[in-house]
Amino acid sequence: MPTLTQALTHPNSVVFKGNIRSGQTLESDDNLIIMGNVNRDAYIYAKKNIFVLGSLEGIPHAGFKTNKEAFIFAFELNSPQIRIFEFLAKAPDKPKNTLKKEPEVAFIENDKIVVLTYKDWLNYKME
Amino acid sequence: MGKVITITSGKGGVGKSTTSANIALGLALAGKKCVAIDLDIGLRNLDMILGLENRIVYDVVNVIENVAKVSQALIRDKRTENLYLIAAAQTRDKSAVKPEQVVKLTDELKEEFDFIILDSPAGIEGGFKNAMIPADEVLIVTTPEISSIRDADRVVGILEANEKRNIKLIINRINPLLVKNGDMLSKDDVLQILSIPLIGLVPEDKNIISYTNMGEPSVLHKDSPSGKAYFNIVRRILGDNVEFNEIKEEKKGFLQTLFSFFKE
Repeated sequence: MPTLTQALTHPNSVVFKGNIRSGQTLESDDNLIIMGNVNRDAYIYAKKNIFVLGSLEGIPHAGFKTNKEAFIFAFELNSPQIRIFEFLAKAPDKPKNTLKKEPEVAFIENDKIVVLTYKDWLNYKME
Repeated sequence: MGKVITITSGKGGVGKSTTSANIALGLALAGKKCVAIDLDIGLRNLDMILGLENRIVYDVVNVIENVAKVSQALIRDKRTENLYLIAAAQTRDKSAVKPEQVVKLTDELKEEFDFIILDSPAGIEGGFKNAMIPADEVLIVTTPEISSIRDADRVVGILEANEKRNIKLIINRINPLLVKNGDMLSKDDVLQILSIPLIGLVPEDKNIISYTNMGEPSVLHKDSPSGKAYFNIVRRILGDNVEFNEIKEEKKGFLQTLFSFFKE
């Protein structure tokens, strides 16, 4: 994780406001911040982290080719697949409890993609 | 100056041509001069749904290839003087027409008509582009099914990439009972995924099959649920503020009420 000063010196994050729809792609050489929804069958790529301030139904690829430390944050994480660096995780076949909507974070731990609720992730990283 | 409204969907079989026929006829019955153009070249249907199939002499490809004048290809509706149809060619395919040619045709028709309704073919290829490029307003038809909604989402993405900003949604074939039981996506579920403004809700109507086969669109049957819904869409196109109350629960019969009483 970068320190605050390091995070502030990244000039090339892509910030996008709006929805990414089926068949569309969005790429960033740095962080990618989307203020809107990423719909099913849309693809988003970032060399660093991905933040979706909305519902993520499409396929995200964080740390694309470069960064094992990258993570994916979404208000609602409903992707059928999550990709980080060279790793890939498929969503469980059992549908989620859709009534309980909580922000979640996906990241790599011991060469595996782990998904935690945002609250749990904050405490997890502090330990 | 007329306005071009394109009816499209992405997925096939969701009711584009039925919607086109009803909106065109509805606008004509409301006193607007209207022309419907079937751009589903090679798979024409709109003429049949409007009940005008035996009047076709020249079609849209004839006009574009300068075999016929526009006035010769305009088929007047048998019920109202305000509606005309330009039929699709059945012996050709989508490659017979280019978007610029459709733009030229619609520009010419705009001088004379208040509304030009373009019935788009399914898909996102050439035929769809022919219908999309000339549009001033696009109406997307979807059913409350995931496959249809995903295709609609893809189409909205393409429209937005082509600087089409005036996009509205029609949700077709809603079954109020299934929605109530949670077996069908509700209007809010669909709107949440597509996030474009709503212009119409059309309930499932078993009569529509026979209306289509007889060439009598629902708007001619004002008391039918679909006819009412299409008429509301027409009023919204004309700028009226009409409440979205098309989808009501079906009234239960006496016996059903009794049964549901016992179930509880």
